[in-house]
Amino acid sequence: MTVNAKGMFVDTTLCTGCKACQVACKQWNELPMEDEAAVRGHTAFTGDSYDNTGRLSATNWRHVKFVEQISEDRADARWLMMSDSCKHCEQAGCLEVCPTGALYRTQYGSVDIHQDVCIGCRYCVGACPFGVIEYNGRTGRVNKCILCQDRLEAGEGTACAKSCPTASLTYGKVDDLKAIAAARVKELHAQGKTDAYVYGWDLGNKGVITQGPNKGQAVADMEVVGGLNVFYLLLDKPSVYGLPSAPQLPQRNMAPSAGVALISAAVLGVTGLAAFRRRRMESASAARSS
Amino acid sequence: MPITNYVLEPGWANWIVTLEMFIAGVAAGIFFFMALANIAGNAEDRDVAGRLGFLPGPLVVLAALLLTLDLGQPLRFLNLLFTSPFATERSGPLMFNPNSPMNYGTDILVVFGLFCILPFFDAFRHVGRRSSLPETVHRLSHNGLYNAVGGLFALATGAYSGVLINTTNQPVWADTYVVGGLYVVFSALSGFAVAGIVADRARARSTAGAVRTGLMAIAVVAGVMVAIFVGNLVALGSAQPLIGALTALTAPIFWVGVVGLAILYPIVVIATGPRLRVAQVSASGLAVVGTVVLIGVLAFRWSLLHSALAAVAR
Repeated sequence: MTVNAKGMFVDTTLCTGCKACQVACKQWNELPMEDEAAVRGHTAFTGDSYDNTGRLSATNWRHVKFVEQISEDRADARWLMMSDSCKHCEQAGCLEVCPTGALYRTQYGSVDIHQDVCIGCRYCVGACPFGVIEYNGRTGRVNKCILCQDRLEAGEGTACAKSCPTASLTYGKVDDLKAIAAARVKELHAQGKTDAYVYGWDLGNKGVITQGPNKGQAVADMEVVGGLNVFYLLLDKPSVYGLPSAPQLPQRNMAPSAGVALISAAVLGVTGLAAFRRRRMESASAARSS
Repeated sequence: MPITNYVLEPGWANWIVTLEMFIAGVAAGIFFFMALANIAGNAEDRDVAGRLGFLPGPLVVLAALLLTLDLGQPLRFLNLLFTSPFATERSGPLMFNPNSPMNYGTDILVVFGLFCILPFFDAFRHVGRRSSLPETVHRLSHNGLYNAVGGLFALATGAYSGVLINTTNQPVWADTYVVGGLYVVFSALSGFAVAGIVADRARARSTAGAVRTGLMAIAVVAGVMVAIFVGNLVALGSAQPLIGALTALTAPIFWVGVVGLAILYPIVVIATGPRLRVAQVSASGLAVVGTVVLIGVLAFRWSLLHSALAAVAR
């Protein structure tokens, strides 16, 4: 782990879905509208609760998810909200596969992009297990949350955390944030909310989901891809929030795939040589018989 | 384990990338055939290999042009080869990230392209054009060691795109380990298909015999690989976008193009055709088989690239 890494703790139990973080992100990073014509024509509604952007993208570096869990008899209902962004993984799939060095680890442990170096090959897009980074058709390069690198260099926190009115987003040193997260999970468990656990680091918490379709199922803290510098306190299974339960690095396939290709190449070599040899034998036998 | 990640599709499922992978694969397959013909073939085979020398070099250049076209700005391609002064995490003048198949592929493609230069110039001699090039060019382009090493780089070029899409988090592409193997087999299949067409035009009956045997054998290998690939996907429950979604284009193109044209057609036509005796080889028939197989290989590239597109959750 990067020494003194900076990151964010996202406490989803405190999120009210106000989207101040989305607005702050758009404003600070001067991000354009995703589809200006659709917004101006009032056709840009997602139809998915109060979600107005649908997903993370090259121009939406932060996305507030709305998950409505309502039982069939409508007696039991809860609304889960989560402010999502790049996780700045300790083992970042995007950074690992970048063929030009455009994606890099900053001194704060975050993953940033040298826009001058990016060639727009989109390999990182297919490699990120969280669907965070996206190709920007306007620039021909990729974009994602860069943890407000310019603000961090000026000694400021991230714009989204600064604007969060409920402290659902907390910026700071990752080690400090882990301590805050551990204390918060204990506090919630003490209140009977045993669903609370941490996604991103294993702080040793275990619990049981108390509400919703997964009620009764066990949950536990999970460290994924070496740890996430932006990590979450969740109340339900990761998939409910659109997070993978076991994200993997794309490199897991490289050596086995190359190995299978090597074996296939060897088979082809033998097959090809055998084809020429067989023809030679047939020619010889034809010559003998004539 | 199937991919359960919430990935975005990288935008590779387009005609530029499909053609780039197809053309680079055909170039690699042709060189592979040339290498075999020069190492294990007779004089007629070497002559056909010499004529084929016209193709791999320009095809590699065309593939590189398509790649730069896909990137949007030609000069960006240089950042794949040379370390940008702004890429602060990388050292040395040549760009290389050992974790990125794209870097291996770029370097392999460059070296393979260099191996294609001599056969290209030697090809003029094989079509009867006077060449002022020294005899060394002719000797070297038919040299066993030159062809063995060049053939290895050709196979690596053929496999590269498969390993590339295998090393992602995309559904279908990354669900098994066999995509690199599939790509190199279909690359060789396309090379033999082109060799069949050229042998047909050159009326090289002896070479056509070897092409027929090789084409059928490689089609069988391709069939086995596809069966392993699809079997893996079915076992993981992620085969639907490639083989099951008949209302979309991907599955019909996979079944008709890949299984039908690239694999079953050459096996059936060659197996049920005239007995494999050199004197009985139907030259025009081989050209048709080669053309159909090439269409099948193009269908393979297209359907595999689009299979992930159909499955990605957005």
